[in-house]
Amino acid sequence: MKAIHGDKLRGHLESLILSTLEGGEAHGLEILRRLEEAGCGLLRLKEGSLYPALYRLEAAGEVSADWEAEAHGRRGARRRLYHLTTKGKRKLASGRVEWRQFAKIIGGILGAPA
Amino acid sequence: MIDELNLLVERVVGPVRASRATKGKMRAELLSHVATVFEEELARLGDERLALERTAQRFGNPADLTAGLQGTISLGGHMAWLGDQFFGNIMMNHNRIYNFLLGTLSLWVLGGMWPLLLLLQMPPDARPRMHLPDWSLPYLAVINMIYLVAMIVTLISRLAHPTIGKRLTTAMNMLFLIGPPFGTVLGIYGFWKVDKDFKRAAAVS
Repeated sequence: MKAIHGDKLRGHLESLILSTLEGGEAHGLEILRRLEEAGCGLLRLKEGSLYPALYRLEAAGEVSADWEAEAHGRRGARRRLYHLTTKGKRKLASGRVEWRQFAKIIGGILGAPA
Repeated sequence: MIDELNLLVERVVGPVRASRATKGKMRAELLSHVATVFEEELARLGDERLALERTAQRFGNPADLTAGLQGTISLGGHMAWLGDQFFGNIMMNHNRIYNFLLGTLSLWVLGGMWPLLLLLQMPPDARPRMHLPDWSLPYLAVINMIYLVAMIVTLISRLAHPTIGKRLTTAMNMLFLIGPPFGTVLGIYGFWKVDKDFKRAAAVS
């Protein structure tokens, strides 16, 4: 299968992030790992592009974030841990409904129903 | 190598128009990310240069990331950025504060000149009652005019020709010291804080 690059994920990235956070709180790199695992290594995202999406979700109150209590790694960097909020859970549920409709319609047009 | 990683993050976060606090948060988070990625790549590739290249590649195009981050900044964030620019870059520089105060004081003295000139044009018996004797008004007008011209000339030369402006500022500060209350305060401030970068530059050369 061909890899799916960031531009094809536009409009869906935020729902994908919310979905990964359903599995528990995570920092940016962990979210990317979860996406990669769930996408069987076929999702190719420029890692930096995750953060604007996370900040938008945070501004919308769909995720909340806290700095890790302890520094991580040899360089002593602290990471921000993101959690799904109640609003985020609602947004994820509506995102799933929208995606099913979208996939059904586009699948119907392309002659390959979802 | 931390300098290179900081540079990588700075290329992305530096141009974002947001408050210092927001940019600080972005810097810390993105630095944490690239530092972890760099460690991963270093363990895999065993070469710092290659690991850095790969980290930058994974991170993405700086201009695109800057645009992405900029898109997350609200109107309030833009206003905070403008505030930071003003207070951080303009007001926190003593030379600029001095120029601003000099300009303000010039306008204030100029404003005070008009009533004085009007009084001088009136016949003495038509003037309102004042604490100052009539004979002092022309002297007061001349002194104000000298201060006004000196301040405007100093301000213009400070902006147009800093070297000459510095000499005139010293002279202006001396003149200010004998002009209480605001003049004295500005004179002391001028001697104490202003144009110190000239002294530093001279010490370096």
